[in-house]
Amino acid sequence: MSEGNGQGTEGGAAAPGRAVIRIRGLTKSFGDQTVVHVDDLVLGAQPVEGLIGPNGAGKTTLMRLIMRSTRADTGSVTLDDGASEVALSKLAPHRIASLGVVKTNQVTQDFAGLTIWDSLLLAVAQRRDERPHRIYRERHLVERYGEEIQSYLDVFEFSEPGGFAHSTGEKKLLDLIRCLLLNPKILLLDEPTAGLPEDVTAQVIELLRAKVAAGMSVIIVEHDLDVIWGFSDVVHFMAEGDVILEGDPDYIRAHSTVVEKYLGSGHV
Amino acid sequence: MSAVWDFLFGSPAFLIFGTYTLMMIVGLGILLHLQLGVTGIGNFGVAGFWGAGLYSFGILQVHYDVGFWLALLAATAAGGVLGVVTGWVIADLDDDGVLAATLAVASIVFLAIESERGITGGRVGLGTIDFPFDVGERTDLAWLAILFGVTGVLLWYARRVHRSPYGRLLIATGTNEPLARSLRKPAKRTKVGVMALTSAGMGALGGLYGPIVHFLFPTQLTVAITVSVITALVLGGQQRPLGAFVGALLTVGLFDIVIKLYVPLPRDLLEHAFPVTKQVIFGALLIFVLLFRPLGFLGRMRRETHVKGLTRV
Amino acid sequence: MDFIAKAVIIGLTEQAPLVLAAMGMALIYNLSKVINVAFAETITLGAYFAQWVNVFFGASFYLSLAVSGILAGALSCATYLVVFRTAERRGVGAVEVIIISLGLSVLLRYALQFVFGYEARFFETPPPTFLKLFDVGFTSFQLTAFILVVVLALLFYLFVQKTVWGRQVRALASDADLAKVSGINPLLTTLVMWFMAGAAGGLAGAFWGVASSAKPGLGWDRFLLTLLVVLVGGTRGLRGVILAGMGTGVLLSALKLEIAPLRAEIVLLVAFILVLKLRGNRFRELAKV
Repeated sequence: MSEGNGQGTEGGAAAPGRAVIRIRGLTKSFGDQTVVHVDDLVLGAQPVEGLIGPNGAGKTTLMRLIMRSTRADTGSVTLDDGASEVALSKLAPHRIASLGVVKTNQVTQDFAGLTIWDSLLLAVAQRRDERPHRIYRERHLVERYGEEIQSYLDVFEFSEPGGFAHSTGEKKLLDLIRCLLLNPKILLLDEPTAGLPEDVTAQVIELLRAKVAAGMSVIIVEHDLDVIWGFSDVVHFMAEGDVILEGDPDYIRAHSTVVEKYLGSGHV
Repeated sequence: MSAVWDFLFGSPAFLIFGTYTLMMIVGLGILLHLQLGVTGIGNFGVAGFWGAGLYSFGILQVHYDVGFWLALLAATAAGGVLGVVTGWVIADLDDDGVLAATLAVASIVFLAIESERGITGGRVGLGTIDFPFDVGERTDLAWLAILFGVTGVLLWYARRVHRSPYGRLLIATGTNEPLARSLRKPAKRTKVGVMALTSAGMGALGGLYGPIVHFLFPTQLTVAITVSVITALVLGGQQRPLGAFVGALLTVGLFDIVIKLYVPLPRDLLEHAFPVTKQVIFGALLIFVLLFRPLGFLGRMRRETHVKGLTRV
Repeated sequence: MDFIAKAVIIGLTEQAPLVLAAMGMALIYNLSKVINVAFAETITLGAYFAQWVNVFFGASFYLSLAVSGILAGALSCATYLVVFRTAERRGVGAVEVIIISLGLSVLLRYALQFVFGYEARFFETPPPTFLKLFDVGFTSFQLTAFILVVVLALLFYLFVQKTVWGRQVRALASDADLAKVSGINPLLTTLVMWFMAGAAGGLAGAFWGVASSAKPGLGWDRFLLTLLVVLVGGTRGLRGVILAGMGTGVLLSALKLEIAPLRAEIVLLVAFILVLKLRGNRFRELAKV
């Protein structure tokens, strides 16, 4: 149940040409504990939407439910691009990613054994490149996508760009670049800057702004609320598995009593 | 000089048979490398896929007089179909489930051969199967050359896979399947595909083994084959295409060729103690290598050298 | 009705050791998350130990049984300490641990032939009486084995569910760190459990062995079925394993009443594969992507 939409936002109405994720009656429990129960929610109507709330509010689980890396108990998630509506909650995870809904990971994820370049070439490779008989396809892949990959590696500094990602921070950046290389319509970011130094965080936000300007939508979960207030067009405040408040950052900050009740003082 | 020649090649039939076995283990090991070392699928039923090919080939040749090429195609198809079914079953399973399912598939093949005596001959055996050509005394040598060629092609393919987007997809699926899926990679289809492809290869190798033994028995398909292949691959290095080759030389090459042919062991020792000792050593090797040098003799994949080569383009 | 009665009687008397073996394997699986292929050899050696005590010392089968259980339990602990604990400490991956246990299985299966000889070894027991129930014949021996297995299975079940040790085992299995904090000695608890598991496997082997003979392939030939029972029934705890084991025995004997024995085994394996496929992967939810 949301308390209101605040100024300047029209929850549910997509900006022209912008695909949105519609969530209806979505629930997920682990044992006796209900972690997510969202009756009705539209994500992605605005270019950048923040998702905040206390630990255990269900933010990460909600994102995992959208990506179907965990299965919902009830409810549906659909992708609406204005022309048609596709039920994401009936698709396999790789199909969801193919439709342009992609997520970065809160817990650092990497492919053991794959180098940075490997990982990025994997992201850009299409299914036709990855057939078992295409054993000479590598050169084509590098020629086609090499520059694009290099452009990302020019932005962020890796200690050994030709080798493996070593630190958690490097793996986090690699995760983000992999997702960006998929050219997503909607990018879900789960704490993308956690553990990154300030200057790198600024670089990440700048890169994301450029992508948003080019038409990508971002839904971001972030504990650093400065990032949220400065970056988001709309903020959804989640507590106890549901969105209880949504509106633009000023509107949310104006409801300091609600926010502080969950996040403690000093956050607004 | 001629004494040395006689010592080395004095009993060519045994030497050739030992080398056949070696080539089979290398070939199967390269295919298992693609399953286990690259895609992380622990196939413990290698003997089943190989045996499905071997018996399909034998049945068609013995009972239906089918020509060599068609029978070999059928052997490949039999391995492939079994691979698709197995891949479909294991796509959702964890490692324990994969162990159970692949062992079960091998068991089913074995039981089917023992039970369907009408077409497989059961324990009585099935034969005879001959070489598809006859060049006199040198026929078995020519067949060995063909086996060398086939193994060479498998090795070449495995090395190419490491340098292709397909190989990268397999590695990604094997090391972090959920992450691969989130990057648009159809993990289940990939697993079914690699099982189909490599099991078809195992089936084809089975078909090529038919003419070597002339007579097929279910006892040729016991877990000993699987253990030999796994031992060779693990010892050599499961992540490297050459791993099976190096490992097979150090195991089968040493035991079935060097010791059997060139070390004068008393006959009763050769019959009982020797094969038992060989298995004890294989078992011990598996334990020690995986505990203390898990990536075997050759070590880990060297992806960074491949990437360096690429980015210089 | 007659058919069902026959299937149940044959299934339970012939496959009673399967329940015991599966319980042993499940104990290890649930606590250490290890599928131990070498458990096959614990079964085999159980048969050899019992046969040795029975023939060499002229002991009765029941005394041999007790000694065999203790020796197999000790062997199981030794394999844990020497191999699996080392693997655990070195952080060896899941597939690799399975391969290591396969190596251990091969090593033991062949090494035991140096000790006990290459040929099958037979027990020296008084000839059994033949009994009949619902027109189904079975030996007094099979009946005793069945009753003993039921009693042992019950004792095992009570041990794991009701005793302090059992509670510690379960606590360790569900949260190792928490268990350590609450004062449980993980090594001792783990060893007790591996001992119990080994004893169960050894006893199963002794029952199987006395019905035919002690031979190197005894455990391996029954490993796959035991593993499938553990994987299918294990998700529901020991009770699930007992039920799956008994169900498997009855189903197999029912199939064998209808079709050729080898074909019956094929049908059973296909059924198990389908169950595994339909049940899917229990650990999938752990993926944090």
